[in-house]
Amino acid sequence: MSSGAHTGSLVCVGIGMTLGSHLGPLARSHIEQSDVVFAAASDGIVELWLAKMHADVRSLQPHYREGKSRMQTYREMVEAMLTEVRAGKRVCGAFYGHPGVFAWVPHKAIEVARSEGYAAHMEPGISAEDCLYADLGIDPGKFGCQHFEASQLLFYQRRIDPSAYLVLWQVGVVGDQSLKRFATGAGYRQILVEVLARDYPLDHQLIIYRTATLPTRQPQVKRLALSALPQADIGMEDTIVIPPARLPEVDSTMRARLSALDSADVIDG
Amino acid sequence: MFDVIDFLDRVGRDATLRNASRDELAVALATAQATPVLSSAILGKDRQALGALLGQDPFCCYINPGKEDEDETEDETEEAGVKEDSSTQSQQTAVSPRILHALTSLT
Repeated sequence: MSSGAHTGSLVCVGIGMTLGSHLGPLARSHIEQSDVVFAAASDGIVELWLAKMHADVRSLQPHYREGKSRMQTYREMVEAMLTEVRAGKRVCGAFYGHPGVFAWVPHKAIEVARSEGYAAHMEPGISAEDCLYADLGIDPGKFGCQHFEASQLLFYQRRIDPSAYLVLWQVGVVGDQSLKRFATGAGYRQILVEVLARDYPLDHQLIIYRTATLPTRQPQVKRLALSALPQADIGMEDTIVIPPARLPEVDSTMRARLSALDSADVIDG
Repeated sequence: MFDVIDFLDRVGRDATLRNASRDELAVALATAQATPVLSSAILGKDRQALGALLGQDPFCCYINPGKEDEDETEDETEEAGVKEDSSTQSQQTAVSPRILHALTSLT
């Protein structure tokens, strides 16, 4: 417990993606030792698993409602946790995957708790990103890897490097400006295809990837052409991975400058 | 008595069970004395059916907005009681105070 004037504290931990497989010992310890645990799990079975680790696990799931802005939902989740922190409790937010990866709520809760003088920190977990590197055999260091929340490609003018991997998150709600929907349809994904077609040919092969959340299942990997994306069945848990469409261009100017430095080093040395 | 959550936890932790074949998993379920209904749902790899058996509805798992900075900017503006025309708003959105703060803190 914090030794400062504020006795409440907050830790947001990642429970990983797969039930039983990914939860680290430190995250488990935080769950077990907290006064209250707030759970944002990927499904109800995972939440039942968390409930076995602590007597007071409170689901954040009831805050969601179709037709209600997810921003409002997220703020309510932050407030639910902060209310207990302010009451002097050691609070643990247990979030599926990594609590800091494509997860607004944990970052905001920690920011608010700290601004009010409470001890607050994050413990990492195994995210869907980590899983896809393993399951798809991708090394982000080979060509580079860009990650975008899919809607951001439509809401803003972003620049894509097609010589690197591109990973798109939350494609199931791409283009939802209201933040009030749990799914958007083919028309929205068609606009996404039009944006992506600026940098990729329509026959470029994409991967729809879904991590296994239950240990009795395996990851789902579907491959399809960019042009087929609007008609694809894409759910909340799916992530789109777009492999590079071309090799990186050689920067001859910079290489020449580096060579000049190399030569100067040899002379100086 | 068979506890399905304990069973799943054990499968998740066990290097052999995690990648077991359907037959191997069936043996593990039988050994654990799983009920036929639960065994069927697990072996069928039907997460929704298993969730329904355990009284769990499908979850929403989005915890990230696509355009938080605009919302935050709007909130901050509302809180400050400031009214702006659309051109000013779009400028503020382009480089919001939060983004400026974030960029500054990186340097």
